[in-house]
Amino acid sequence: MKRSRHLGILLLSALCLSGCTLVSTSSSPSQINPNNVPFGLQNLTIPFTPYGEVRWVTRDIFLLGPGQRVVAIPRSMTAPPTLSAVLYYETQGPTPIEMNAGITTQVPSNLVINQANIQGHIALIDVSKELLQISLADRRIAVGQLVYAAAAMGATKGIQLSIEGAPFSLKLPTGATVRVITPAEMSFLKKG
Amino acid sequence: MRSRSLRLRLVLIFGLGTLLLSSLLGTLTFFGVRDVLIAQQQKTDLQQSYVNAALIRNTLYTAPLTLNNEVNSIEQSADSTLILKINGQWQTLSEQVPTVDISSDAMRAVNDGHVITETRMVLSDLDYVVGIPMPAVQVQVFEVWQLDGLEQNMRVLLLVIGSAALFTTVLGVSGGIWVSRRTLRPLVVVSDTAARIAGGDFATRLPTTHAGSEVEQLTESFNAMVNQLVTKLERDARFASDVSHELRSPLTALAMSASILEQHREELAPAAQQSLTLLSAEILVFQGLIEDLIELSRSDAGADSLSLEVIPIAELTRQAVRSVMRRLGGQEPLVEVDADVESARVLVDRRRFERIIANLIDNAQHYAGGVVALRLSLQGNRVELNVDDAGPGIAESDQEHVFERFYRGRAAHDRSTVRGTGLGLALVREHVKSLDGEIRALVSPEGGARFQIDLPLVEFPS
Repeated sequence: MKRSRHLGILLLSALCLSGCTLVSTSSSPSQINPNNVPFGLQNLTIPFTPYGEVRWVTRDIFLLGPGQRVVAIPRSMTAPPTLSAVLYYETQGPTPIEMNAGITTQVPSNLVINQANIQGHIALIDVSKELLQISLADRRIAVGQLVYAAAAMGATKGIQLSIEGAPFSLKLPTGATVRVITPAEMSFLKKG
Repeated sequence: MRSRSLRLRLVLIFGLGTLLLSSLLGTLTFFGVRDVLIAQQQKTDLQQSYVNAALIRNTLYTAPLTLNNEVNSIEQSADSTLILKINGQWQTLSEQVPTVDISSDAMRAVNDGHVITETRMVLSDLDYVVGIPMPAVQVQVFEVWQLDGLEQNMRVLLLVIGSAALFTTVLGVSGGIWVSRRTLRPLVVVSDTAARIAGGDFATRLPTTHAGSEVEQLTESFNAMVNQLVTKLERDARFASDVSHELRSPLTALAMSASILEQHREELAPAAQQSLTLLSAEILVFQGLIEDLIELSRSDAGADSLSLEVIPIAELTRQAVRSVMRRLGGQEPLVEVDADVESARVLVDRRRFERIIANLIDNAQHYAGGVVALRLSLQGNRVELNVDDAGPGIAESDQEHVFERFYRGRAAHDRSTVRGTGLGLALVREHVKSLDGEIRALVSPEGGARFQIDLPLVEFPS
């Protein structure tokens, strides 16, 4: 009786060893003593830096929803937010999750924002040549996305684009060619 | 059989002992190595996670727009997955849902400001998760390391250790077989020697070996015991022989006196005649007893030499029956001989064979109404002689004992008027053994007793 019990225990142990994972998993996370965490990662300020911290704010960028209508989507960015940062996120386009939800963009992902600032509520933006490599219809939509993003940052009177230093004018669906593109001229993106 | 089971037990003990020991050592080794490997791997991963978190923090401070590039670069170089929670929003370069890899307990702990580590099985992947909150940049970094490679190494290690344990067990069993053979060899020799001595070979002794003091002591004790027994047996046999010889002369004188009295029986009073009859009968029995005792003593002492000759068994049997019946009187029993036995020849001592036949017939006449038939047949390379009597047969419980000296079965007790020496069948067995034969008591198909004698053939019938 005792022998068979011992044999049973032995077999059970062998079964346990052969079955489950060999690296045991933890039932709950283990905490590391803060004193053992290097580089001051848990400090409230970043060591050896003048400002010592990074704060985050949320700003909208404008992507395309169903029917090619612009939709505002928030992005976290370090404070203070700049037009360059907003336009950078604009070029990054939707996240994988957003893409799964049907959000798209016409702004080329390889578009580089060389310079961006706001003067008298007009954004002066210099971009790379990739903007010219898409069709006129797509370019209008891409420029519209930039117009809305700049407007949200205070460029309420529109944007003035240049392509690597060369002035850029956009031909509107009405046939008119404009140098400063206003949100009103891009309102078709909101109507769909 | 006992020796074999003892050997089996020894082998099993060795095998199981080795299995247990190698399993124990293997288990300890496995768990020891496993713990060290896991600890090293996790320590390395944790240190790398600290470095990566610091890089992310610096990137956020100096060039936040290059964060994705930095994360991408870290993931490629570290072969891990980074999941960031920035300002309360999850961010990852991979398409999977970030929270799949991280347990809610881990998220809660990092939210509370603790650096955590966690090993968990996600789907079929074994992950090591490091969670680092960085309050200075309001970011939580979760780095997920794959431990599948480590798991694979563990399986290889387990396989190697298991194979080693198995190999050691096989070695242990082999060692057990070798040791049991060596250990039990003296026991086997003792057993064989004892069997030979029990079979009557009193000259056999255990050979002196140098297998160890215990075996030497056993050999000495065993041989001393056999010497003592043989000495006692020889002394007993000599005593019986001496007594028999000493009794023989006065008994002969008594027999002669009784014989003279027999010649003058008519001159005696009726009561004296009756006493003379009893006296003569007792002297006859006594003489038979003395003769049998002397013969047995000679047989025990090995002093009775054999005069062997090759003789046709059928003819020898007929002659012996005829001779015995001439002496004993009465109707000669039938001798049935199978055709193929007629030319079969055996190596026997004629006198002893006749004595065997005489004693069996005498026994049958005294206790079983005489012999019904003697049947000779061939059984392979032996000839079988069945002597069947007309008696009630021998009880099964008596069949083993009827050849013992002075053993008197139920039939002898029932026929209290008939007196034998009690040594007749014992002598038969001794003589059969001396002729390299065997004898057994059975029940004949007719219901009486059957004494079956096997003798080896020296010449097969052509």
